[in-house]
Amino acid sequence: MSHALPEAEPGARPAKAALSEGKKAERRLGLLLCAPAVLVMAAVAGWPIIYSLWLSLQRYDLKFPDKQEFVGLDNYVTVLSSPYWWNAMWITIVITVVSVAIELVLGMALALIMHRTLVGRGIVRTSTLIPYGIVTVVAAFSWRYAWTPNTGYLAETIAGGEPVLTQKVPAVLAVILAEIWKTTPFMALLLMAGLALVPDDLLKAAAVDGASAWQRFTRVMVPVMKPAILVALLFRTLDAFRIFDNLFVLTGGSQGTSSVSMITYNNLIKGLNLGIGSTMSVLIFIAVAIIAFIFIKLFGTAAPGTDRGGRR
Amino acid sequence: MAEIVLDKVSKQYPDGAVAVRDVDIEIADGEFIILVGPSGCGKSTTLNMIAGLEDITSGELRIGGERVNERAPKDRDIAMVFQSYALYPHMTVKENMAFPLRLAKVDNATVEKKVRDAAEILDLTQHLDRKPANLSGGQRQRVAMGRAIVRSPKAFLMDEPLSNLDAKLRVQMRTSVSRLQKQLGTTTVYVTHDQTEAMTLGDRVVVMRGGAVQQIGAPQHLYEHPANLFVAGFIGSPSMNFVPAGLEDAVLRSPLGDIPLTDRVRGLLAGGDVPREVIVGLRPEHFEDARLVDDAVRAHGVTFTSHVDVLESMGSDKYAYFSLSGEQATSAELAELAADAGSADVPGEGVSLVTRLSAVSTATEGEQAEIWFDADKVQLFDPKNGRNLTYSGN
Repeated sequence: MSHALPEAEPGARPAKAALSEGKKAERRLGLLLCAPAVLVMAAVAGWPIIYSLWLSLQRYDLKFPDKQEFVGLDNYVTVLSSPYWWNAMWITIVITVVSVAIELVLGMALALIMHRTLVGRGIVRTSTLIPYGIVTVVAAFSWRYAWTPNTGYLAETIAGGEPVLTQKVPAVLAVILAEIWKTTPFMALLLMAGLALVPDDLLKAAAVDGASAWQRFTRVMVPVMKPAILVALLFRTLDAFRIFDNLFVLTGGSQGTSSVSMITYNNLIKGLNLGIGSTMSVLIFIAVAIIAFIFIKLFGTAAPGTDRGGRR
Repeated sequence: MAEIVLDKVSKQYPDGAVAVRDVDIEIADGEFIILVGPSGCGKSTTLNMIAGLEDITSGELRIGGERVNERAPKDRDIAMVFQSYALYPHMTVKENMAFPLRLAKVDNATVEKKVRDAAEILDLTQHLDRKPANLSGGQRQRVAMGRAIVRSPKAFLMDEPLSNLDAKLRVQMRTSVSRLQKQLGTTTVYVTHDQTEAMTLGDRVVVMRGGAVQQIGAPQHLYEHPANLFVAGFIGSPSMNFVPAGLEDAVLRSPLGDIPLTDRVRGLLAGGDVPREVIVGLRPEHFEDARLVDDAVRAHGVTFTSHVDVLESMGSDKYAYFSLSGEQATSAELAELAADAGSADVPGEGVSLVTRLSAVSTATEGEQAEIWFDADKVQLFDPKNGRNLTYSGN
């Protein structure tokens, strides 16, 4: 059999060339069919990105429109040497890391419960998803009222009447809590899809092989559903990094609790400083790109739908 | 190694459905026993109960003399091979096979040695560093076997381990499973729905139907002395022919003609409560082309002439198919067998008959042929409860 292979090859070559002729036409058709979507994307996503890159290289403050001029990377120097920016960056990183880590643990627990539930499955799943279904701003307001001294139930019980949202560390914790409450169901939903990919036989085999429940979880379930876990983490990390609404409602960015999205908003929209604001949004764009790069290249996260056929 | 005893073991689900009813099986140390039956007969449930993957509702399960009903699978010291192989996709072949040993906290040197030994036996040495996704079906199957044998467990449980292989490989693997079991001498319980596997592999075969054991015995015994219609129809390929007949005096009136009762048959029927309507069972190999039978032998049997529907030449034999006029034999057992074989809705009229003739037979498709069969080989069944009226026990 092995010596038959080289013989087959010269015969296969012309067939390959003929095939690529057809492939070319197919590719041309494919490009043509994609073109309208690409044009729309270029108009609504590509152009704003390029425009904000362009703006970030200019001194452009709407309060002083006459002083617009090209300043190269000056804006980047200004932003990257500003303590406000770095404070916002750290706040964002802390909120992202802490909330995603806790969400992963809670989400996994919820997913296991939803996966295992036999009675009232629909009710359990629906009720778990309620927080995710509530508009973030509405939920944030209810948290704000709850933490308000004298009237809020959380302020009176847990905080003992202290104004939690007006101190930096407690305020950040309150924001993290609101984030976790809100998006854990999303995490659970993604993880549950991953759990469904673990064949029952695999867990039975592990049980017979001598694995305890915890060993079955850590040595079989988690490795097998690793692609789903990474996708869930990637989605949530990118999402958490752009945190805005909870912060906007709960603290308004006071006491140095602004996230990078918050100070970008303050500079760009409130401050009307298009140059600095655009610089910040480009920096956020770069940070998000780095996170995605780390997940996909270093951890081998497969984007949904591109899962390699080889792994089972 | 140990013997396994199922003592009146039953399984009832919370919704009231009974999957397994009062199963009594004593499996000797080192024995290779097969659980066989159509799908839904409770064979896999029985196996899962032995493994500890399903709870036992009532009855007792003893492995090596100890009651293990309440023990978790990991504390029963058994190994299982699944139909899907259930290999861990994120581990290499080596890690897969080492997994049970690692969980048992065996030291590295021993793990290494045991995995090497098992890989050698199963011819997997050059694949040790590959992932299951890169292996062929047969190789995966061997890895699954390897994972079972590295531990030297008390017993092997196999749940249709060869069903996912293609036909040719299945026959090959069948012999290697059999050889491996003899070599290791480990008690093995093997579940299959394939009667050929059951006949060829097992020391003893347990035929199950609807959660109950129908008959337990050596393959040859089940073939020659089926306890009832179900076992008779399930064991053997092509399966036994069933023809309805009326019992009058000492003669069976059937579509095949009048069959005289021989002394052996009469002796077995005597004393029993014999209904007037019976089902006659005849194995295909008990037929022969009448022209090839000499007169002395011919006198022991019955001859009939019929139209050959289909003739299949297998080289060593010829299979001739007939359809005779008259009513088909009907019973609950036969209906279930037909449903399992998927032949329940194959249109057909009258009594169909499969006969195995010598290769030298001159029977031709589409023409009349004179066929003889041995009247002493008939088995009679009660159509109401399927009992073999001519069952001679051991």
